[in-house]
Amino acid sequence: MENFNATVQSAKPKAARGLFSNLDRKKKPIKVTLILGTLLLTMGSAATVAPLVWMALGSFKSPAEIYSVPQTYVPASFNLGNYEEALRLVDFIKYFLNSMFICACVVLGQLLISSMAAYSLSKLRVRFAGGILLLFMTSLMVPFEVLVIPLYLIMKFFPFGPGIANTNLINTYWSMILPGIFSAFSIVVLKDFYDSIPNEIIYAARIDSCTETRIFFRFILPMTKPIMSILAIFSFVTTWNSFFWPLIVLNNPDYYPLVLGVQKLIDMGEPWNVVMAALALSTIPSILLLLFFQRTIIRGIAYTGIYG
Amino acid sequence: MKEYKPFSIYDDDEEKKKPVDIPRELSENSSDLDLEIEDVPTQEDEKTREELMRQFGGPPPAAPSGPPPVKKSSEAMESVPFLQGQSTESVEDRAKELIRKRQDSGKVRDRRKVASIFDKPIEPDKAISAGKAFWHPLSYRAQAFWFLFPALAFFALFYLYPMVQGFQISLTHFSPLGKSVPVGWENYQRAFQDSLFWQTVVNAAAFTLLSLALGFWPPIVLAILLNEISYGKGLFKFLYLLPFVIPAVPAANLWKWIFDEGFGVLNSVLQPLGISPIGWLTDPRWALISIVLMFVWKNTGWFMLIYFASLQNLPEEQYEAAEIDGAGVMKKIFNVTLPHLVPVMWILSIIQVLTTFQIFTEVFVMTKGGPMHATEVIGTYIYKTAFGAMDLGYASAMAMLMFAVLFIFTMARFLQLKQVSR
Repeated sequence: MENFNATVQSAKPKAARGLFSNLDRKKKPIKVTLILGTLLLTMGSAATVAPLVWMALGSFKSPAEIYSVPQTYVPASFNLGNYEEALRLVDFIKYFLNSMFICACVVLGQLLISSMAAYSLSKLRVRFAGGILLLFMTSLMVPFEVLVIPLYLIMKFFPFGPGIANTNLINTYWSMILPGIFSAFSIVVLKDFYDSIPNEIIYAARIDSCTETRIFFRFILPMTKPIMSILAIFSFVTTWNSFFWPLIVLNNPDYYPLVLGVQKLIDMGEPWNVVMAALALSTIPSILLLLFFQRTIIRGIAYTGIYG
Repeated sequence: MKEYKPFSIYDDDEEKKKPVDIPRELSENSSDLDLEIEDVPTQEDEKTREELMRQFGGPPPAAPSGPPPVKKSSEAMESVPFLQGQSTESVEDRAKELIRKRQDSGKVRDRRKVASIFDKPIEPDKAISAGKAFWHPLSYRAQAFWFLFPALAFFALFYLYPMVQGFQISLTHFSPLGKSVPVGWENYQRAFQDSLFWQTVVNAAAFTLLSLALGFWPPIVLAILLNEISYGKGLFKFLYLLPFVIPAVPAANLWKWIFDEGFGVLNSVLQPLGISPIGWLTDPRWALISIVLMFVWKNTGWFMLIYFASLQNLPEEQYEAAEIDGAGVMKKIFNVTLPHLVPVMWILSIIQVLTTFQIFTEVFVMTKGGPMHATEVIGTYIYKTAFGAMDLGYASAMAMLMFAVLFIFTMARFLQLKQVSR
């Protein structure tokens, strides 16, 4: 555990030595092995990226090219006609903004609520803290399919299902935001982080007659920036990529997130070249996200290895 | 500060003979019973006293008619039998009993208890909240609760309540607007007799096994390689992570196009090798394998990075020790590297089982349950039953069965998580 908290806080993890010592690396057979390994890695990454390259190439092809047998690999000309067509067919900007709004609400809400709960469980010595944490963790065991039907009913007849005075939240942003806010994963991760913060900081603030709320927002929250960014990116990606839930609760195009909008466009039966352009448009935000936050995402992935 | 000695390590008698010094606070009032009388004697007390006197065999109380004879209590005590050596009980016993009675009546407090609150130093990790009752919204305990409250509320409304409701729905023929009819375990019996439901279970199991067989080793090999090379680690990480971050919907659609029987690139690549076109997604024999391929493509990079992160924590002393013992590369891999990765392998296998059993988007987009239900998984079947046929009761029952099937794996993951977070 100390190890893992240290890796979170330090910007650069210590480089591992690996299988070969520096002396070994100068020997010829090992050099050859390493070059072969690099080649294998390159092939693997080529296989990984090839479908995406194929998508990019396909998005520039004309209908005649894309429906030719055997396939032409490189399009004759790189014209943006398919993209214009895709943008004309569906309102990508609107879907993009919908997705952004939903993700922003979920991320902010989740971080606020999870960090408050984790702080209470870790430092405020609330009663039955261990039991409550276990209760929260049981939510990780439940497959989403089990929750989907009752959740749909709750959204349709908010808040307590049919039969009691209710409001219909189907086809609103609320139905997308509310179920995503609680996350036991973030609570567990944050609780562990708070456990590693020394109590003396809080005592000092209390002696200076700081209220608990102020201690939390002025002292504790700024300290958790690195871990918050990891959790934020992860809940952002999960929400951005979610498909099952929006498919069920949204059927008004005004509220579609990007992923659902693209699927609806494809369901309209467009030719594959336009579809490829639409797919390319819908993956660009994710690729940019990876480009800018690669380090945070990788650190977060290491967390999933620890936390399961 | 006096030095505290738990015991003497020398067996000397001097230490024993040393006079024990009693703290001043204790020795001062040792004769005192430490009682504090808060109240003045009331009529009731007077009555108790009189009763006591009667018990002790004193003179009977004055007759109600005349004025009570004025008698000092000390005078009355003179005729008490036990003072004259007639009683079997000791004075102390009687006095103690008397004191206990008075304490039970709540009118006398033990001064020591009262004092102890102020004698102890105020604990530094407790908030100073003098004067606020526990129910006060700003009291310390209440504040801790309000911090927890939003999470509790969301948990109750969006996890706990749906769980309970889902189980209730599964016991009925559910109709959201009309009246739902309770039917007991009928939905569950129906699921056991439904051949399509068994098909989904078999498909899910096949999917899980195939994805474990195809997707288990590549990330480990790639992670070990990635850990060895000196240049381009960042670039490789970026490239391998691309499939992980892009949403499942575009990825699945892309692969649908790649797997296309007539115009797909996979068939046109295989054609020069003499393989006739395969209906990757339209042939029931191949459909499941195609989806597994796509799944492996999407998850390999992610798993690889988890293994890689674990390798970063491998202490280099282990490799050095192995080298001193004369281990070659293969021995180092099998006796140092892989054993180090075993816990991560367990975690990832559990994650993989859980995600493959719950897979929905990929299947829904690529085959919608596939040619002749060859790729029907539990997720798609539940979706079709619940939101296509609107049979919510039956769909809930199937979801509950799925939960039961997955319970072992979720339990394993749960225990692992509990272990990590303590």
